[in-house]
Amino acid sequence: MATARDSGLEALEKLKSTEPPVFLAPSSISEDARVASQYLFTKLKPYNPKSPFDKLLVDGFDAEQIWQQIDMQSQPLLSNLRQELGALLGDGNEDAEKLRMPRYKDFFGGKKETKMTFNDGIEDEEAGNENQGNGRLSTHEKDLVKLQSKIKQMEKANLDPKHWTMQGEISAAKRPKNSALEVDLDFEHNARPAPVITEEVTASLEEMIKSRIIEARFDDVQRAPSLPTNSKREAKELDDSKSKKGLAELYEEEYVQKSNPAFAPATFSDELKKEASMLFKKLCLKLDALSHFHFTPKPVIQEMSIQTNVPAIAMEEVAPVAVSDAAMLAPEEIFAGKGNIKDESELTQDERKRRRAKKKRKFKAEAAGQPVKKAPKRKPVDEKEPKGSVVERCLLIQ
Amino acid sequence: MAESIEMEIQTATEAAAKPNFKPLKAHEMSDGKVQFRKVSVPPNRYSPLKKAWLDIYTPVYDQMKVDIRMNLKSRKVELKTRADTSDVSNLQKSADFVHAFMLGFDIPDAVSLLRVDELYVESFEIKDVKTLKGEHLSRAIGRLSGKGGKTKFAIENSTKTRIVIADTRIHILGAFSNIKVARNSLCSLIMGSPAGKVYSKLRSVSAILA
Repeated sequence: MATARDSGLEALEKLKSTEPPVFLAPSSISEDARVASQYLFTKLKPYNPKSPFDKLLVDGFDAEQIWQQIDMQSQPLLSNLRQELGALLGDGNEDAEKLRMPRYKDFFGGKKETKMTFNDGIEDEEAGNENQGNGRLSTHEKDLVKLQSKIKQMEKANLDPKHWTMQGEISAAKRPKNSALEVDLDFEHNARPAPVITEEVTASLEEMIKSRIIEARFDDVQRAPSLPTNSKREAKELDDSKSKKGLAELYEEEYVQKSNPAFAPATFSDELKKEASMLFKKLCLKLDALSHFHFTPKPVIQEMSIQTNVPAIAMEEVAPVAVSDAAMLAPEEIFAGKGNIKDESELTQDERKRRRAKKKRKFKAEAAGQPVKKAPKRKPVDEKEPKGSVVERCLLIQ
Repeated sequence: MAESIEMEIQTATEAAAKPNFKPLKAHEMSDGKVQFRKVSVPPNRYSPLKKAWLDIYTPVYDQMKVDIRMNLKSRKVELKTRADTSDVSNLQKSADFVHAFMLGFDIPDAVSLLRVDELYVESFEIKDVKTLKGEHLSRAIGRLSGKGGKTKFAIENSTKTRIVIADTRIHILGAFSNIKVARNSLCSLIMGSPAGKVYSKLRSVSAILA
């Protein structure tokens, strides 16, 4: 590095010392000039960080190309220097370092100039004034300017062709090559992305497995059994018998079902369901009775039926369901004899006579070895009937 | 003179006021002419008509307020509007009802034509669907009705229609969309698809219909 610098200085000195007419004569001076310019280039390098070249490339390049490189470096440098100079002249207080910092203007051009272009449209008078143009504008005018610029921007945005990412559905052929690589595409996945398996992940997993084996902990999470989401769709039975209802009734039912389902008549399947639930309740009651002797209240089975011949006491008695209630009947319920049974003292004369006649008939039949004949059918006994008639009947029997 | 002109103007303005016409009654339409319909009775429906005459007569005469009589000479049932017929469409409805009975529909089914709007009778022949002859034709008819009318009743019940199969003629009574479903299944039966296949299709369709 030091040698290059020395040789550069040397070359510069040599160039200085030579007379201008000698430049035209062919000599080693061109070599010197190249070295000198290279030296100068590297010297200027720190003042222009944006330059694309680290150093002046000399070997194998002709003069034109070298000039090009120098131009590329010096152009921004010159403007920079000019600006610094102006700042020094205008405001001596500012620090040199601060001035050297790159400015907005350097990157994006003069802000004021662009503003002036907007001003042109509005007021011709102030077009000439560069710096004081903004200062003179009233607030309203400033607003107008702002608005105008905004409108222009929006119009431009509207007129310009849209970026392909904003054009909706697009195929690879329609967008520029490799353009999808540069864009952060945001779209929804419907599945969780697979975890990226790195060495750390496997290592941690293995470690966990090992530690669990060492601890003898095998309490893996049990997979919850999935509940059947919906019952199997019941196959609809096609009724292949002649319909009992007329077509008008069918349509009427359908209409009622649609308009107010509360009043709709029960369908065939409803009735079946009701019957099935009733049967199941009854079965449950019986199974309960068989399985335990503790008292369980009877489920309410709604059935419209009037039960006769149920002793009142059975409803109040708290007895196991399985215990027979046959023994709980009243005596007259157990004895199924017909007619009114009377005591000896209660019998009338008529009745006593009939009883005796019956006895005699039975005795006679037994003696003859024949089945007992029934007493001939009697007319209902009338109070007003004369006594003689009874005697007659007795005679007839005999 | 001036007064008379004024009077005239006044009467004119009165006449120009909004008139209040009452709606025409049914018998006042078509200049009060009585409207007729005649439905011919095929010979095979003569005795059923005789038997069911009262069932036909009562709804037509009492509910629809249409006069009805059997013309024995021309063998036609004649219908006529009355002065107290409430609706113009009653006559046509009654005629449709009688006609449906003539086609072979039962009275309780045919009565639905009187009670429900938007019910239609559609008729077609087996040969409209496919030209079948001899045994093929009789087998097709057998497929349509099924054993003891099973297939026919299944189609009727699932599509809420009524079907009459009279030799090669088929009549369907029902709402428009229902007729369509029933006709489709009947046609596929005529074309030769087995009853089971038609049933399974009917099941899915009737689930949508209901």
